[in-house]
Amino acid sequence: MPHLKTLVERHENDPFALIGINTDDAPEAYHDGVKEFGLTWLSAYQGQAMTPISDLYKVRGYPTYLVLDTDGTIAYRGYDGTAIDAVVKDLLAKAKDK
Amino acid sequence: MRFKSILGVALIPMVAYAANPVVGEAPTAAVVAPSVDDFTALDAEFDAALVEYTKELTAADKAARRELRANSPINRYWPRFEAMSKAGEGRATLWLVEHIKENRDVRSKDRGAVLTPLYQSIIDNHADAEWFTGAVKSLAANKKYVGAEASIAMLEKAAKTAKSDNAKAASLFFAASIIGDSDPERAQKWMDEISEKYSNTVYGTAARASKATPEDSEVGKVAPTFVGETIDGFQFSLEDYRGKVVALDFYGFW
Repeated sequence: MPHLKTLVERHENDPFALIGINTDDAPEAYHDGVKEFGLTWLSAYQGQAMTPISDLYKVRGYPTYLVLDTDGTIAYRGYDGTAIDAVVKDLLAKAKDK
Repeated sequence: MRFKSILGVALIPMVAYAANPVVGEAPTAAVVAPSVDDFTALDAEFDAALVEYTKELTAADKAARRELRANSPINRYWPRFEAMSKAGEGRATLWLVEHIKENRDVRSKDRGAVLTPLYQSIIDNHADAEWFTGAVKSLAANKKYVGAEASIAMLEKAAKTAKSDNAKAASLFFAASIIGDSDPERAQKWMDEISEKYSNTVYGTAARASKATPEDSEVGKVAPTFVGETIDGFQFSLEDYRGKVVALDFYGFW
């Protein structure tokens, strides 16, 4: 989480968005978590009854990260939170050149 | 940016309710149907009583707890919400169905008989309300008391009377989940209807998810679009972010 916060701050002025997709937290646990980790970015809350986005992406483990290019193409999918930094940086550089 | 603005909207009214419950300024029309402020004020009063009750309960010993529980805010406020519900305030009816499990005066086996007319009244009279999807969700959650058959019939009706696409899609989605394996053809028909007509809703995402394969979201593919909802009910679509580099983080705090 602190690492994601840094990533968001680093790209504050770039065409970049981090979207969290919360799965399986009770509302109280979710609110506590948002407060504790200072989560400021957009986050979908799926709750515990149904998890449509996780199902759509066939997410098997948590956390799972995906990085999408400006046209929506999936450039990275995996479990390594620090690996996404370089992918995001590359895609942003590529987008600038376009 | 958009996220910050929703947080603002979500927080400001809550503070306002707590600090300044509006009472006694209802227009004369309130004699027939309670005004918006009557419900909001009662709900805020109940919330405050609940906070107080939780505090007292934590501090109390065993015997005092029993006494406190017998006179909990749910039981004390129930008749007031009930009266408001009878006067036509749909949100009070929704409050009743959402709190029935905590009401110790209504025994588990009697819940269905209490709930059914309440849901019927919401579906008949408030299908255009902005909170109607919440009522549909609540009906799905209480299906074991209402009964599968009655729940499905009411959800089918709700799908027709609902005004918003989201509420229509929710009604069909929960009807399909309840009917499930007992009539897979009918369930599939409803899921297809959601995919076709209401694809741009949370339930449209759920309907497509039931047919997704791992290959649809591997590296090199275009990310399947989805509609997400924040805990405050703000809806957004992945489509809104085309043109940006996007990182998705599937996580939990557990």
